[in-house]
Amino acid sequence: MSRRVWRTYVGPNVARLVLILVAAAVIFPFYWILIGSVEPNNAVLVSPPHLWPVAVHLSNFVKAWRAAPFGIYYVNSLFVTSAIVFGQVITCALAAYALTFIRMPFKGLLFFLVLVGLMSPEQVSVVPVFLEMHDLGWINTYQALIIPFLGSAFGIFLLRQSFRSIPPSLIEAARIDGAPHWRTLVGIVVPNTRPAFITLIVLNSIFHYNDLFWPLMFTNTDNVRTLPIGLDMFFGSQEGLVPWNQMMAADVFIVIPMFLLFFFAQRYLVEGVVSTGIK
Amino acid sequence: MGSPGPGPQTVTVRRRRRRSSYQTREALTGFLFLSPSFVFLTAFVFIPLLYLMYVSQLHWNLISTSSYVGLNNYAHLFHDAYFTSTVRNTIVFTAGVMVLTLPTAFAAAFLLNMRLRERTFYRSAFLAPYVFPLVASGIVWTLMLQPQEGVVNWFLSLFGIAGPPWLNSGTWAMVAIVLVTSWQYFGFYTLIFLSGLQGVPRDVLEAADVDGVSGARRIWSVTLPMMSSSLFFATVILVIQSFQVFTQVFVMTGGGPDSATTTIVFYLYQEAFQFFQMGTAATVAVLLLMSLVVLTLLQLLASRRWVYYES
Repeated sequence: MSRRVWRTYVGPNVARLVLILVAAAVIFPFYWILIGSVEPNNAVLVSPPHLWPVAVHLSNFVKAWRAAPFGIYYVNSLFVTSAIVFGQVITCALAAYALTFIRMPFKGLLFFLVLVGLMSPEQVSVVPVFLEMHDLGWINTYQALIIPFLGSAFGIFLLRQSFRSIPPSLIEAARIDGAPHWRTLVGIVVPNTRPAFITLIVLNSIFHYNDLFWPLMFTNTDNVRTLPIGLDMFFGSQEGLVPWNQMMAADVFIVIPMFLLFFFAQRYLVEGVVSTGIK
Repeated sequence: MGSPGPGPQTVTVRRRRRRSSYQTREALTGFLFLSPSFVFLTAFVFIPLLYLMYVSQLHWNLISTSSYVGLNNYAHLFHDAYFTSTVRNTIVFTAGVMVLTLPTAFAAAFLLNMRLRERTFYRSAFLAPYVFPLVASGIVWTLMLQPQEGVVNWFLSLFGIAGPPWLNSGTWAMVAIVLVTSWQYFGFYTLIFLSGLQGVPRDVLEAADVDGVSGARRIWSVTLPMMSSSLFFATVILVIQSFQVFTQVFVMTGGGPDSATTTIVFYLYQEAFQFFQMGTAATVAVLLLMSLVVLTLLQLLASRRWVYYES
């Protein structure tokens, strides 16, 4: 077989076969969840597994929704995630603008501090912040879930990287025409770096919506709990006959908002992962 | 200057003063813009870090008053066999995730880089677990890894392999957690490698071809060295991410069986939120932070020597 034949016909199809097998393996758990979510409970955990549902019980979703206060968890998750990300977009845009375009002293030091923030994850700061929140009486409140994340070193870093692609002369020209900084930020910088903003929104929404660690430490009643912790409690609280099918159904309705975001903003997610890869 | 009278000297002075007041205003605006971020970062990152160093020198269980014990917590931890085992577990976990994830992600990226028409489909498929909550992954994999009725052991039985007891055995529970983590982040690392591969210049590869270097040898001695910066980057991120592992352990094993999967952060959680030993927990956090910083710096130094950056 000549090398040309190999390169144009055989090679790509071998690659295709391998990729299809890997993709099938990666996707399989999702498929299995979907099947399980509509099956009767005794049909979920069987060997060999069903590749097609033996019966379709959409009532599983209703039962799962009612089995735990998922409505409250849902509202809490959406509220906490959007509050954090909305706040971050504003604080990070302002900070990244100052670090990129404004002449000021101590800029190096301030940027170094941002890098320090970048290196310390929530697992490191959880104990001291817990003690702070304890003194403030904020344990088990929305504040404890939202306010610690309103400043984001990661967000500042990400936006600054993209702000640097804007020629400073563009900003200076607008400044000479009398535009104040806030107006060059809103009118010139933001419209030109929209992908970076969407990347920030997508990555941090996924991170905070899915985060178990922080809400686990800072909440202890249902009225402020979020979906990951609600799902874990639903899983952990089961004794005797476990409703596996409802667990699957809960997985499905929990992941919907982020899958939608993923679907509409995948291009930005890919760009974000590639250009930063920090989270 | 419309008004008569001022000599040339006064003009210069006034202009200089105006410029300096402009600089002050600029700087003030700058600080104003930075202040929202820095208020929050100071309150919830910088002060906590300092406070953490202080708490790590206390004996404190939140109920009784704290007492200052200096570096005793550190000395105690280093001699504590339980803590040492959590460090060992974390290192084993990290090594496992590296071995399983990096080569497979590289291979997948290599195949994706062949620019098949439908490659966005594969990319989406690989990335989907990244969007899935780790809690949900943990639950689903716990079910799939059931020794009797689980999908995974059924699949293995098709090849005549008797599946292991997974979460019921210490060793296999660790393997299970590695497996879930790799599944979750495989697509993420594939993307990083793909962007690295796309940065390898075509002409270099063709030159290697002309010189008779192709196939596996070309990958090993041309492609890999040329994309060493993304290999390096992926390794650093993976190690940092793996050192912080918590959710998988919390959901799937609770650190067991027999603390075989208790990792550093899980231990920190137990000390702080189950036994309320704030001093010990803070000490663990300081050690974790230090190891993250050291790892980052070490690998930065290493990269200076080995990594190829195209300038």
